[in-house]
Amino acid sequence: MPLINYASRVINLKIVYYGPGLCGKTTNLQYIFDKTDQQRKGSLVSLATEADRTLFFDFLPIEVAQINGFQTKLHLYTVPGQVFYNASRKLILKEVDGIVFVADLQVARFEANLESMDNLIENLEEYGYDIKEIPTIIQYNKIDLPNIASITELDKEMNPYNFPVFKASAANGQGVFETLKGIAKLVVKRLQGK
Amino acid sequence: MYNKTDLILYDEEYQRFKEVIDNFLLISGSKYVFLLSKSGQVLVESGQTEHLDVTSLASLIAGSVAATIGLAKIVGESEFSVLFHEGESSNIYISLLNERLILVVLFSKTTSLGLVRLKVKTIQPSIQAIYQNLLKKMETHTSQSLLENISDDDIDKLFDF
Ligand SMILES: Nc1nc2c(ncn2[C@@H]2O[C@H](COP(=O)(O)OP(=O)(O)OP(=O)(O)O)[C@@H](O)[C@H]2O)c(=O)[nH]1
Ligand SMILES: [Mg+2]
Repeated sequence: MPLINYASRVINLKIVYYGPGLCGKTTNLQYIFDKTDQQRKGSLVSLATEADRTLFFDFLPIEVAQINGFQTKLHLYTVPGQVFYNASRKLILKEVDGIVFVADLQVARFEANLESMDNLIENLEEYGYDIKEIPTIIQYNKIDLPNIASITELDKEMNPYNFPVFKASAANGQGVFETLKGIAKLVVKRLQGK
Repeated sequence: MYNKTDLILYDEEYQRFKEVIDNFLLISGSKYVFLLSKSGQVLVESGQTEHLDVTSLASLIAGSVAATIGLAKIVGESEFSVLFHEGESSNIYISLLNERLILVVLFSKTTSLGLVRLKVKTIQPSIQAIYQNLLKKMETHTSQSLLENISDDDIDKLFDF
């Protein structure tokens, strides 16, 4: 849920990166953090295990644009993708304004993507949210790898609502900002009631 | 125009919240106090904030409150309303005020926890009253023209970062 502060003239929006374990959610945030000007970003907070798996969340606040004199701030979160962290994953979804679903194109992760999407829909439902009502985009990640599924095929299974789709190789930054802009635009349009 | 769940903070309520927590800071002898939404966004703050990464702090507190509510449910409590962290030289007192708001107080060893706890109780009704007012206003206010006259094209340009 956006927080619109007329006193400090700030709009805060919460974007959650969702997806199966190791799909590249944290990598997206790290790249955004690395490439964003100092004065436009806060710290990257990562609550991770010793093995660098997300335990609770990553958090990165960035300032993106002025809208009619209001500073728009995106609060970017990732969830822990590992199946058994569902309780924490669900907590992060609370009051979400926009979702980036990061899918892992590796053939071996085909099913994991579908399961994670089902899990997302289910967790949203438990809060009484309908995914169709929430600005959502899908990022097909790891296009740089050799053994990957066909995007058309995966999209047919994963994307019945025709959410906008972005290709990425988050590890080298390709597609990361395109994805971020994609979701930012959707979320702002949503604020407008479109 | 906005969702029912949006939180909109108007100047008037901001000022009223600010007055309450400015006063709280004085009477409780704490160092820094802020009002936080459950989703981790700071609404109003008061006190010394230099060298403090408030945004990160806010997201971590919101996370730990969310986790605490989750674990309360698991053990069958409706919620644990207070979290307290004691350090070598400073303490953090976190209080869940209602379904949306969290009050966070940072204070030093020289301030007593008892006093902080008492004063938090004292200001709760005022904060609640302002909050109720805010909710009413959000319902009745015809949405302001925050995003009017902005086309999709404009939005596309806005995000040319
Ligand atoms: N080849 C390749 N590797 C990637 C890409 N994106 C991420 N990786 C690698 O995948 C591994 C997992 O990335 P993370 O970003 O930690 O994955 P995550 O989704 O945050 O995982 P959890 O925190 O467990 O949910 C890391 O070794 C990344 O370097 C990519 O586009 N291409
Ligand atoms: Mg991660």
